[in-house]
Amino acid sequence: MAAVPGVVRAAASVPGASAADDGAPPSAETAPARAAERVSPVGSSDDGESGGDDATPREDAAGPVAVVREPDAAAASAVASSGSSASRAGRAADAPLTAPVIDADFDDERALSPARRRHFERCLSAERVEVSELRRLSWSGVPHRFRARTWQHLLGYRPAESSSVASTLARRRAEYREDSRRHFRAKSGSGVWRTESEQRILRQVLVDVPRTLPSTPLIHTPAVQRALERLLFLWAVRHPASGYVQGMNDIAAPLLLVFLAHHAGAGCKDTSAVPKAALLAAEADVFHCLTRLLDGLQDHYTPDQPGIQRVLHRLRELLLRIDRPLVEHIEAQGFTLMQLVFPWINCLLLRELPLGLALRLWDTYFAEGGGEGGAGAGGDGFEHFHTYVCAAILAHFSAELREREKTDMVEFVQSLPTRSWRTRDLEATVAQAYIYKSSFEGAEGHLA
Amino acid sequence: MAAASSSVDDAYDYLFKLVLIGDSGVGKTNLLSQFARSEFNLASKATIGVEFAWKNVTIEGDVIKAQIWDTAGQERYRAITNAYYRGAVGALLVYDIAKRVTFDHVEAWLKEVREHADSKIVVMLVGNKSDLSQLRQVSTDEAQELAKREGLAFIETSALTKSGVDTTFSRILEEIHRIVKEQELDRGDDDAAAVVADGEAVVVDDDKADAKAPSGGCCK
Ligand SMILES: Nc1nc2c(ncn2[C@@H]2O[C@H](COP(=O)(O)OP(=O)(O)OP(=O)(O)O)[C@@H](O)[C@H]2O)c(=O)[nH]1
Ligand SMILES: [Mg+2]
Repeated sequence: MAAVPGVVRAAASVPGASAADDGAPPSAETAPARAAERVSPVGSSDDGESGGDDATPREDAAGPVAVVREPDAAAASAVASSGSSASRAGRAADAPLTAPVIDADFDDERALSPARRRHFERCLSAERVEVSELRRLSWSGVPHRFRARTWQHLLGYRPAESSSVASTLARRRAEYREDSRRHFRAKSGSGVWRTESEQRILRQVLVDVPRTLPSTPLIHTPAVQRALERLLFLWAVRHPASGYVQGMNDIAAPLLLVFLAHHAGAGCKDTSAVPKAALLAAEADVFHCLTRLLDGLQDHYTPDQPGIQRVLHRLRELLLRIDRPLVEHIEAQGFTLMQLVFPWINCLLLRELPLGLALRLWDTYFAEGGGEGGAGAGGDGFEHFHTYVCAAILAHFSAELREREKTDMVEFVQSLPTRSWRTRDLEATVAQAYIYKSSFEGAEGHLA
Repeated sequence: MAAASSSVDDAYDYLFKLVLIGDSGVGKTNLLSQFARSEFNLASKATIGVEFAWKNVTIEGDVIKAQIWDTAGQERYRAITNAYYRGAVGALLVYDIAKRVTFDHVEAWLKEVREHADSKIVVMLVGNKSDLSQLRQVSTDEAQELAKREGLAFIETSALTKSGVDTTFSRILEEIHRIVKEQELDRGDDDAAAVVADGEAVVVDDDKADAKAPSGGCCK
């Protein structure tokens, strides 16, 4: 199947596809831009892999190079010595023609401004990262090449002390690996035994993983699919109160994409260029970060989804103050807000925005996050500020919504124009959400 | 979405509301996109909550607007999806012929229907993915038998090749149309049928809807 699975018109043209397998890897030969070098710079502080899997780089069919691995974390000297990577960061101009460099897709102009980049660089390479400063800096967007580290800091996953990054991450990755082995590898030889509920979880995960970010080839290589399956399954087994709920795959995917880009080098377009060890490290990091993110949203996914109902209730209250006629119109059509925007809350707008913009929005959410990365780090941004963002979007489309009736209105929401939004549209919405937050928060306090 | 522009209050003689139900991954979303837009999408996303599409078809000279609600298969979303049984005059209960467990759950789905939908709702059992014949785990006979026992219509389809898709929708719509016509003949009264004259609203006035389906979704 084509690299970008698209809508196929008329059945006849579909090649012998099967439900079980839609994960044919996109052809690699179109992406010679990959770095042939080792993914983990020797001596870098963290990504030297914990677990002793061989990190042998793949031979790359294509010639060397062009894309230099971004310098890693704390190693200030590495930053200094790799001037070339800074100039390249996400610039289409000097990237090889063949494969779009992920950065270029995901960065906007502001993120690429040299001053901003330097600021991030300085902040991230400090002996001790000032998380509060990083948080302030991140609110209006993180350059893609710094996203993995920044998100990890804001979630409290990555230690602020540069001296403990390597050992802490190694330990956390090893923990995950251990757990993963227990549930997968060790069992596979002898016929796996799983509880009824584990089977149910696994079944659903296997149905959903191939349907995750359909138009992002990187996610659809077999190795990445397996990683996603494992980490979603393990997360669910560890969180029996909710278990796996559809849409969690959507939420894990951006983390995986961002962390993979970090480990693999920005120009990497499919996993044939990602050494196994890098993928394993990314997988473990995603697991831990997903855990932290969802800790703040726990009751969004438990039976009856009380957290989502709470958000929707709050959203309605807000909208009544901002745009009462809109609420009245929607309800007069026989629909509740819940019916209209449930997926926005459940999947955090990932489906309503182009991926690059969703990542940008998440920068703000992470920046809004809770205390210094404790449990519930995801909550404040992803629940509280998210509510204001949803209100801003609804208010933005108020006129369009109010001129449509009944199911016409539903159809409009299903195919919301946000899908073709540009950065400036999102920025305006985030700014509006901030204004709402400032005006209404004092009055009503936090969500109870 | 479906073809028409949003502003036109298009003309139709009857409006029938249908729901698509069944386990996650059996192909409900693709059945609907094939029917409504002749599209198949190998990498459709999982349905979160409920999605909507519609299409007009003509039966015996009457224009029928089929309004179809495609629901999420996972149990966690049941609280949301259950609301959509209201006012529905037909349900397509889909399983995957290549996945035994989705067929084993058919009885449980029927229970949901009986609990939440009008008692006269027309239910059709749909065995999807008939193109995967080498992987078949549910025989046609067995499904046929179940359908007979439960009083359901039955058909096998492939959303991939489109085989059986149009037939599925036209059969259920014809059946509903037939019942509605019969009731119109029988009926002496009535404002009950006025119920959902413009019945696109999910929440139909309770007692009226209950009194009257499947004509609950009809009439101009
Ligand atoms: N071979 C084959 N694959 C199909 C067919 N119908 C659907 N699929 C595939 O099965 C997977 C699930 O299809 P969906 O239509 O998304 O399933 P669903 O029932 O809507 O699932 P939920 O939204 O999770 O409830 C997708 O990968 C489809 O491409 C079919 O007739 N034949
Ligand atoms: Mg679906």
